[in-house]
Order: sequence, then structure tokens, then C-alpha cells
Amino acid sequence: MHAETEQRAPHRLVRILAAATALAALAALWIGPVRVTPGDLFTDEVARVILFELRLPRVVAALLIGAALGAAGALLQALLRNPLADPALIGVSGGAALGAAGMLAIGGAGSLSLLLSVPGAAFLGALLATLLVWRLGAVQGRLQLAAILLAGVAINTLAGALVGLLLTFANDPVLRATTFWLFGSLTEIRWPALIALLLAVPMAAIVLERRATAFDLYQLGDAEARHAGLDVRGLQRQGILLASLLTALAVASAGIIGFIGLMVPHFMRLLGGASHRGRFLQSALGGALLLLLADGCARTLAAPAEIPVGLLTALLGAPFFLLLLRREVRRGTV
Amino acid sequence: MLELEQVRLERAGRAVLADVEVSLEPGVMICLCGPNGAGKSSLIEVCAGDLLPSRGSVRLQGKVPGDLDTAELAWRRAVLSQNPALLHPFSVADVVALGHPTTATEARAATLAELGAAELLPRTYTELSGGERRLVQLARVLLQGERAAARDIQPWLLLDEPVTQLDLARVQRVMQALQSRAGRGWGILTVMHDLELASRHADRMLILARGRLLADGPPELALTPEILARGWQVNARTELETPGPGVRVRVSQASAGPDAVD
Repeated sequence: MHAETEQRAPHRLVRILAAATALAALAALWIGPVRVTPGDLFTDEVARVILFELRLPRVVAALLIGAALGAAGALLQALLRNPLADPALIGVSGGAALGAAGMLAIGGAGSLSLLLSVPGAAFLGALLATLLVWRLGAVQGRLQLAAILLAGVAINTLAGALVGLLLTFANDPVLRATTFWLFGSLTEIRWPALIALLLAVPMAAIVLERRATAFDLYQLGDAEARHAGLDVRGLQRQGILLASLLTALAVASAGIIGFIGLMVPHFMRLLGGASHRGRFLQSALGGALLLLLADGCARTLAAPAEIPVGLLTALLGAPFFLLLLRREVRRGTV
Repeated sequence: MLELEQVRLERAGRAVLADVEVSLEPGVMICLCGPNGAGKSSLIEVCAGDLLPSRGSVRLQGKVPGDLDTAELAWRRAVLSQNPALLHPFSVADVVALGHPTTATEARAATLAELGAAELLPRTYTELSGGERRLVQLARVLLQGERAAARDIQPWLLLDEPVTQLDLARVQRVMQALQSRAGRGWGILTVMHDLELASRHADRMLILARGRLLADGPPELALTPEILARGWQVNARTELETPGPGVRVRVSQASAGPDAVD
């Protein structure tokens, strides 16, 4: 009976989160500076435009980008075996932004081929940053938390400086397009990257769920996981690729939105324990829910003006990170 | 069988293991002892397939560990290493289950109970003491062995100091658990620091010092004043426990004499 409750619990949490996310998505369609009621849809052309062309794409974007960031955070925390990893915090998002900005600087803004190549460049940037953090974070083959965070800070700073350098020499359209990546925002929907996310998020969630036990084993350490029969390098390669892909597509769609990847997996661990059964689905749904809520606040708090949602998640996330850090220091895991 | 043929292992230009030649049979308790830095953990790592010998060869049930993939190796041997790391707050039940993910919940509880640690099952791993964590990890490793045994494979258990942090009662439980596995035909190679304890439980003792095998045999032949002097640089008397089994070791003083090993 114990085993049954254990098996069922992760899926119960997934169902609850799915229901909450669906409700929030429905609610988000009706919230905004302009009041729209269901009845208006039959009579009012403007109401239809607001709902289907302005709000619906934005809700879809928040769902997909939040899910990608939540899953990427859970994945990075699993891969690096520590609870303080976040795509934006350890330089992965910075790498993606640098890749995207670099491609914009080379190509100029606006052409169609560019729309497709910018997410690709963001992916390469994210991959490179992840590999660098990995290399610098390992001391004699063991991943060290302090080394990972320091390497992440360094890579973030470097990527930020290089993006700044590109901005200094950029012309106006490129400048505008690049600034977008620095403050995450859902105001401009970038469809190619979003469509890629629509494919990538479910694919990643399914692949990762199937490897939940492998990720549990992996937490024991490289040698111990190998002893138990796990292909550690294979799992790491797969994980790094997926984390880079999800982060890059999220950044290419909406710029750097921090702390979703840090907070969501942490809440899920509090609610559902440390085992990875269901963890990636939970984190994807939790990320979708959190970004939806954050974007709802971004749209309404200072309406008709908008607060960039990346700023809101940072305002919420930075104190949370400090709290978490203090706890880890007290526990002696840093 | 676990066979080492002229195994030499170099790390940073230094020989950690030198010409280790030994053939180990399953079904008996084999204890590996030696002073700090003797190369005991390295020997375990070489047998486990973690490290490739610089020279010589290792054969585990007739196969070179380096030639087997990780999944196949995991059917043939289970390993308890010295410091498994686990930062996320896993439940004890989850950690034990990692040894054999498809096993019944009762098997996890039974294995923990066998080690005298049944009460740990509902707790969180990261909140346990060092000794308690050791017991949980050992239960996981034993279950990995059971996974193989369920497929009629007699696995090897390669254990690096399973009892060092444990209390009196748990030490006895662990040694009994290992002996019962040996009785079922499993291979047991375990690193021990407590020589008297090892001598009471071992069918065969290997004494390793500075990478070389000093002695190999039943406890009364492996633990002699001469071996203790060469391995640990101590003056010691030894006498057989009555009633046996076991060897008492009485250290009188640390020897300041020249090293007996080359």
C-alpha cells in the first residue's frame, strides 16, 4: 500500500498543477486593461481581436516559455546535483542571449532567414555556456557547488559585457531587437521560436519522465551511478542538450526571464519530495503557472503601462534565492 | 572468480598498486586490510572497473570489467564506495530502492531490518547521521546484489569500509548479512580497518601495504607480528582468540625502525 501511494503521489501533483494551470490560462484571457465579457465575443469585433489576437497568443507564450524554463531548471538542478541551479543564474540564458544578439549584429534585423537562425544561434550560445559551466564547475571530476556558481557568475558577466559591446556598435533596429533579450518580456511574440517550443516542451517532458529513475540514480554521484549500471556520460549529454534547447528557445521567444527555473523545481521538491518521478512534468506545469501569474501581474499592476515580466520574476526571485542560499549554508551543503 | 594478474596502477606517476596477483573465490568472506594509503580503495576501484590498471589485468567472472558496459557490469558486481553524495532530500525508501527499482516495498524494508535499521525507512536521507547513511547505502548495494541473484547471477559485493562508522550492534548485523550472502555463493570483498573484527569474520584476509600484497590467507596466518611490523610499523603480539575464531592484536609501541617493505 505504501508503494501505491508512493507511485500515485507524483501523478496526483501533476493533475492538480494541470488543472490549476488550465484555470489560470482561462482566467488570463479575461483579465486586462480592457474589460471583455464572453457575450462581447458575439457582438464586438474589437473584443474578438483583443481576445484572440492579443491575449491568446500571449497566454500560449507564457505557458510554453514558463514550462520550458521550469523543466530546464529541474533538469539543470538534477544534472548539477544542486538546488541552486537556474538557467539565468548560471549563465545558460546569458549564453543564449549572446548567441541571439551576435546573430542579429551579423545579419541585421528583420529578414525571414534571421527569424529562423536567431533561435539556432541562441541554442549554440546556451550549449556553449552550459559546457563551460560544467567544465569550470568540476574539481577533479566532482561537480562543486561553489565552482559552478562562480563559473556561472563569470559567464553571465562575460556574456553581458559582450552583448553590451555589440549594442555599443549596433544601429537602431538591431539595438531595439537586442535590448529585447536583456529584459524578458512577452509583449512581442516571436512565433518561430514559440512553434519550436510547442514541439520541444512535450518532447523533452516525455524523454525526461522516462529517465526519472536514471536521474534519481545519478544523484548518488558519478561513480555510484555507474556502479548501479547507469550510463552517466550518456545521461549528461542528453541532459545538457535538452537543457540548452529549452533555455535557448525560451530566451529566443521572450528574452531572459530569470528565477522561474530556480523557484519552481524547489517548490515541487517541497511538495513532492526529491525523487524525479513526475518532477519534470510538475516543473513544466509549475513554470507555466508561475509565468502566467507573473505576466498577469505585469499586464495589470501598472496598467495601461507594462512592467517587463523578467523584472517581476527577478523582484520575486532574488529574495527567494537569498533565502535558499542561507538555508543551504546552514545545512552545510554549500 | 575475481582474478587480478600482475596488476599495477599508477596515479600521477606514483605506483598505487604494484604487482598485485591474487585470485579470489566467491562464497567466502574476504577482508582487505592495510594501513591508510595502502591502496585498498584503489584495489576496489580496479576490481569494480572504475579504474583501468596501468599494467596487468583484472577478470571478473572471466570478463575484463573495462570491456563490459555499465549496465552489464551492474549485474556482476555491486559497489559501496566511501562517500556517496546526495544533496537533495530523498526519502530513505527511495534511496534503498535505487539498488533494485522494480523490487517490492517489503524487500526494501526487510533489507534495512536485516541491518538493524528498520526504523530509518520513513525518514529523509539527508537528515541522517553518517553511520545511518552508511546503512542505507549498504542496503541499496545489497538490493542491487539481490537483483542479480534473482536472475541466477552470483554477484560480487565490493565494499569500501562498510562498518567503520557503525555502532557495536550494527557492525554485527552487517557482518552477519555479508556472511549470509557469502553462504549463498556471492563473492564478498570488503575493506576493513578493525583487524580483530576482520579476523573474527573473514575466511580469508588480504593485507595490503604501499600497493603490495603482504599477506593472503586465513586470519591466523595473515595477522602475525612480522606482517604487522612490515605493514603498520608497529611492535605487536598476536594470539588466537579462545574460543575462536579470531586473532587478538596487542600493540606495544610504534616501531621507529626502518621500513621493512622495499
